[in-house]
Amino acid sequence: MQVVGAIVASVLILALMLPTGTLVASAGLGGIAGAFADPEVLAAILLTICSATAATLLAIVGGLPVAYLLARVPFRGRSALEALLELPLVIPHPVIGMALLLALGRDSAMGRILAPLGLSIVSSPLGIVVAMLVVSAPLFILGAREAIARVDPKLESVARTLGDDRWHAVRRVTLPLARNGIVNGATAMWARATSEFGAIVLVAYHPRVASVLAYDRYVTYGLRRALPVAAALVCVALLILLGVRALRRTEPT
Amino acid sequence: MIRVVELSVRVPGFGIDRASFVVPDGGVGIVTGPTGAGKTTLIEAIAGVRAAAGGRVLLGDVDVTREPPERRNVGLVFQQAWLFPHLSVRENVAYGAHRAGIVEELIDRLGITPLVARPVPTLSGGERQLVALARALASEPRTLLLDEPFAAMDTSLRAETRATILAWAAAQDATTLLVTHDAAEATLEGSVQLRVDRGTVRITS
Repeated sequence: MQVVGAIVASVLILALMLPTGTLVASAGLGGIAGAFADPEVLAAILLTICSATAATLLAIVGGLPVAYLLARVPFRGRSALEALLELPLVIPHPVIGMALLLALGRDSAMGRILAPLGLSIVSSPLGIVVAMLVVSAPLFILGAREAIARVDPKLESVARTLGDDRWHAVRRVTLPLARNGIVNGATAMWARATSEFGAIVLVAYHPRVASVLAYDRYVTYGLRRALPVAAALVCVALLILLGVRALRRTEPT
Repeated sequence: MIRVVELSVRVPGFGIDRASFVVPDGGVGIVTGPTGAGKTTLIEAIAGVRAAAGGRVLLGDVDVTREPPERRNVGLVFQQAWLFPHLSVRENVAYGAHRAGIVEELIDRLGITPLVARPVPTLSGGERQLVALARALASEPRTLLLDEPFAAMDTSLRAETRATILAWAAAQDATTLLVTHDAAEATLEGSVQLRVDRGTVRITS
């Protein structure tokens, strides 16, 4: 039984690694180095990282209270709210792009309000951040909710009898104890945001984020010319994930 | 003083029904009753961590029924100590302290000096209860609400700690409500005896 398990696991790991491994090997070191010397690639990577970071920070600020509410406060409609929040995880992301264009695009009511302020989600960094936020924030909120729910409410009660109001009890007790889960949720969201394509390509083809640039090179020049860019993006993603893991290892438990 | 007037508390499938009693200023109330009778629910309602469905709670002369826990000036200790695991023992004791020196004083008084360097997760049940008691006293509460706070201690430590806590409370003129299953504590001289059974609170002496 163990042997069968090991074989199945090996096949699965191979299936997960084979495509990206082949892609990086096909591009070669020279190709990847060349991609990193391409200003358009560097600009796309920088835009992706900055947009994903902005979206994650927005999700943390707005999502933590929602996560706390879902974890701690029983209210009518909580299950429905959770389902709504999870919706972007299960519907195709181009559909979310269409929804964003309808709700926030130039011809929408909100779009007409934003236009005089010089703001538009169409073909703008703002649109990229909004698309990343909508498709990825559920990962943060659900992760933070689970982390907060694992902290026993009795600890907050004790903190409050010791003089803390609810906010201070949350800040001094609940959030520090839920920190690892919250960080994991933020990391998962950020990683998902950096790889987002389906919603962004509809809302903001320009300026190009990394995923859109790779797609653009592929449809314009074909697989061979797109390979170095795609391989460079795989390397960046791998470096980021390794960096996040190294940071987590240095955190006190 | 703890004055409870017609206090009702509702929890799913259970409740405290119109409890009334008084523990005088600086006095001790002893709460006994079978497991699941409502003793902890009663204590939590007085502390304000569980909402009252009806009636009133007065601490001192102040009606605190609608006040949040942080405005009741109570020290609450559960049987399961609920120490903050991300803080050191000293930080736990100092959590609600307002006065310089009280933390060291209580650490010394309760004999937990050897524990201050140890991480909270490594403490035994009895050690945790000692730290939780020190933490509650360090906030200098006017009302002490103790829910079987000595249950994890051996007999001699239990008697010694109980004497220390009650002496401290008497010196501070704090009113104490102690939930216990211990026969010696249940008949503590001069105390108000309360019996809780299936959500009903009776004064037995």
